[in-house]
Amino acid sequence: MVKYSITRLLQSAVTVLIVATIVFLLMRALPTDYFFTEEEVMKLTEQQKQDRLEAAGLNDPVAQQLLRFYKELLHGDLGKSRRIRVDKPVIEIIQERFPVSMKLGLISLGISLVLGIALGILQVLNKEGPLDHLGMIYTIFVNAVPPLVTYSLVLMFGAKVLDLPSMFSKRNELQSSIMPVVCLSLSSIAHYAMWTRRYMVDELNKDYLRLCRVKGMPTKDIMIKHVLKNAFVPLIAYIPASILFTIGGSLLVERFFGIPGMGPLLVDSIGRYDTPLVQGLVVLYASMSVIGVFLGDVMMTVMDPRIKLTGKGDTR
Amino acid sequence: MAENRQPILSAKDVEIEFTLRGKVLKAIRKCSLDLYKGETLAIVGESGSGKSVFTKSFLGMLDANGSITGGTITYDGNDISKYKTEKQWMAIRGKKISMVMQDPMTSLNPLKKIGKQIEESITYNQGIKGEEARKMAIEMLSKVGIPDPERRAKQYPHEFSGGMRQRVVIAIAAACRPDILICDEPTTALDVTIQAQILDLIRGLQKDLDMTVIYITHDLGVVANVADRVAVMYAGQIVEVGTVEEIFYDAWHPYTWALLNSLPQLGVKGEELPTIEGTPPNLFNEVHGDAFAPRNKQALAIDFEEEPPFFNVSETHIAKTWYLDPRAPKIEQPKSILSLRNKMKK
Amino acid sequence: MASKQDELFRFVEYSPENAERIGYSNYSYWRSVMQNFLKRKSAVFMLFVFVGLVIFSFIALAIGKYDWATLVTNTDLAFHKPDGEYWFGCDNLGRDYWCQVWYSMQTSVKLAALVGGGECVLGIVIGCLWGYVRWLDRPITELYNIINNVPMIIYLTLIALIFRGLSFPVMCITLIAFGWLVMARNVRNLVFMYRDREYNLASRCLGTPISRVLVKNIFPYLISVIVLRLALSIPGTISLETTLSYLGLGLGIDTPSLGILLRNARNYFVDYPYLLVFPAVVVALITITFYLLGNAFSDASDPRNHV
Repeated sequence: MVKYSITRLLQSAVTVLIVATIVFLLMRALPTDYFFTEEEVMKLTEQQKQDRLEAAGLNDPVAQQLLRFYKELLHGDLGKSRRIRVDKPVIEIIQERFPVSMKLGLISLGISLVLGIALGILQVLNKEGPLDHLGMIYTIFVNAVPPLVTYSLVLMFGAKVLDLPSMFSKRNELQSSIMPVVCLSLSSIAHYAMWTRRYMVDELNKDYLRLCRVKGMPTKDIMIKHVLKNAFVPLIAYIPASILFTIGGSLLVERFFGIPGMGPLLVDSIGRYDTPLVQGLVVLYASMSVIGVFLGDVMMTVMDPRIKLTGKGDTR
Repeated sequence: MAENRQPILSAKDVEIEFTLRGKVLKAIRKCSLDLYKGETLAIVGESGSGKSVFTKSFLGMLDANGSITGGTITYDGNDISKYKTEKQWMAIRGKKISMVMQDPMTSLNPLKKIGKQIEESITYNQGIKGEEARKMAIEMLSKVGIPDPERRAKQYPHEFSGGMRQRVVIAIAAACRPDILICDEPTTALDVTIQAQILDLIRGLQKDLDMTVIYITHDLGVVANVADRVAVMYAGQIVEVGTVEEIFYDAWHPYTWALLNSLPQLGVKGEELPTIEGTPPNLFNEVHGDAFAPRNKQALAIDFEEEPPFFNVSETHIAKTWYLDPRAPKIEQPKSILSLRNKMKK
Repeated sequence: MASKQDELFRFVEYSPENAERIGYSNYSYWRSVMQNFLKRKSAVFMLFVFVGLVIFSFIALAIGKYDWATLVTNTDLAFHKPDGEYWFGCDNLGRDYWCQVWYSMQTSVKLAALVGGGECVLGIVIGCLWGYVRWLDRPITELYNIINNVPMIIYLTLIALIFRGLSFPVMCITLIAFGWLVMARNVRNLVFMYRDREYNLASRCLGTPISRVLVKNIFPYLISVIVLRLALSIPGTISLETTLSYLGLGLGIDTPSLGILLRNARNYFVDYPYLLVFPAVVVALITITFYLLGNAFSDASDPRNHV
């Protein structure tokens, strides 16, 4: 078990490294003008530009730059932003912004889990009944219709009928968070509900449940004591990853409601070709993804006594 | 055996249908059976004859696409074939009638400790909870022959071998303290060496807990070992019932003859092993007359026209075949059966 | 009567053919699929709705009063409410909304269809190889992990940079290049699962060529999943395109798309709801019908439902 964990950790580190390298190389493929701010591009002479590039080590051979990149990574140095906030260390920028995203994300995650699982359970208990169908309609709507459309509808309803502020602001944090949280939760609720429902229905067909019926357990008890418990195990595996992803923030929701979180940061930094920031963010996202998956696997082993982890690789 | 006892469970002319791919399958066709207290009854028949389906109906455990469409099943004064709600079945399942199913590998919840699963049995049927239930569960484990029950109760199913898992399943079924225990091919999935142990175990429990046991099996060896009475089933009907001696040495239905004939033990060295040619009828279609007639090399014309009623061979032995009608031509039981009987007489 | 019956007590000749006669099952996979699908009336209904919509979009443009190419901004007409002249009203720049909406719909559906088809082909091929050829498992898994871990928009923007803006074909290819991941993974999981089932091993032992094993045994299970993926992919692509356009990373402003429409309208639709309602309804109809259709077909083609 320990050996497996260590191998997995190493594999994960390698994956992150490969991802970082790819992005690094892609960034280096951009024209060098992007090193400078828009102002500088216009004002500096060609010679000055060359000098600065030289000083920053950008004219060195790629391999050398790569090695330097790795070294900096190991030291936790993600470089300095070039365009979004000139010369501000990337790490600081991230530190400023992620609390907002994380807070909204965690609240939404909590709500989604509770509501989603509750809905799923209700659906199974009321299988093929009106509640089940309502739940299905909700799920279908949220899954099929583009999120932008759903958020727009929420916005219209919230702004017109409930008179909620249509943009996020720190001064009116509580009220202006309501609609963003709702939007964030919509699809997660549907996801958890569908997952719970499907899993429970699957478990319902298993043989050991027949033995439970035979020994005289009423269906309700079987559902709660056997089916639910068993169905939760795979669900738990996704929770660490979900928690980690809240750091990343939602690109669409945050932009839509003007939330100063991680989402717009990524979009803007790409749009304005702020290479160090992009690199830093990519490394961050890759690490989160990989750690989340790893933690999920660990949780699975803890919860399911059957799993004796062998060295089989798997995808998510 | 007292012949005029009242049966504790009496099934009369039961019919069960399944809807499959839009068509109707008549799995059980006018099947009747009586069960007497304290006996061990074996239901024999080939795969697909309907043995499991028939007994599942006693517990209301038919699959969703099946239903009882005719006949009555009388237990404890009630007609349980008409039970529809779960509440009604709760009074029967576990407490009165319990079942041991075929495959021990999938019958247990893999994520729950064994002890807990037995405790549930006790709690739901005897109302005992907590520490006392735990103790009873451990006691049950040792009764079924699991060594070191205290430690084992805290383990998970995958830590047990197949034979031990079956013992656990038996423990769960027996912990309900049922009046009737139905064992559906309990030894089919197990090694031959374990088989005898399991049969002994069930026999012991039966005496201990004063249960009536129904064995479902296709293995005549098991029948010879455990049964008091035997019921032979073919194509959804019981065709012959009698004591175990009567069935083995004095059978009258041609299907029973064919079954007994095909026992490898009765084969003569050097000669071809007898088999029953043909296949059972497709129960999607209506069956005319005796279902076994097409495969019977000595069938009567009337076998194809009308279904035979039950004829009495003795007070405890009935068979559903036209051979026993006084109008039928003289039929002799096959040589192998006669020779068996002679061998036993010695 | 008694005498007629008495006659019947004689022996009859034994016929081995009669003994063997059993009702054989004439189960045909595709016929069961069709039967199952047609049984769900809602699915058939959806089919009609979807086809109707697509056809209508062509008709709509034909009967619309204005042609996309000749739209001209006219601030006088800004926010003109829907009426006899402008059936969907005008947008914030005074352009006819009707033709914008339907044209955008066509673009989005075209994109989604192409991407869906591409994902399908690429995904199935890679998925089968991934699942069947053992030594490919490791490398493809690594590739999958790597592509999966980087947020897609990074690749998108970089590609946009290289190709100077995202035109329709480039967008197509990029989305396909990411879409195959999920399809391939699903296919691979299934192939993995069924490849070593005993009945397949038995078939191979008996000398059945692998292609036949694949087509007759494994494929029916794949169909269900493939169709499901396709059904989800089309609304998914439309959603993705909408999101990307909104964020400014999608098709250029010249090419009409639902995302651009919504982006333009975001600031105004709280006050002028029709700017949102029309595209929203159209999009919702398309996506929902396709989703339901795909789900229904997928359920119908799952062999386990052929009972």
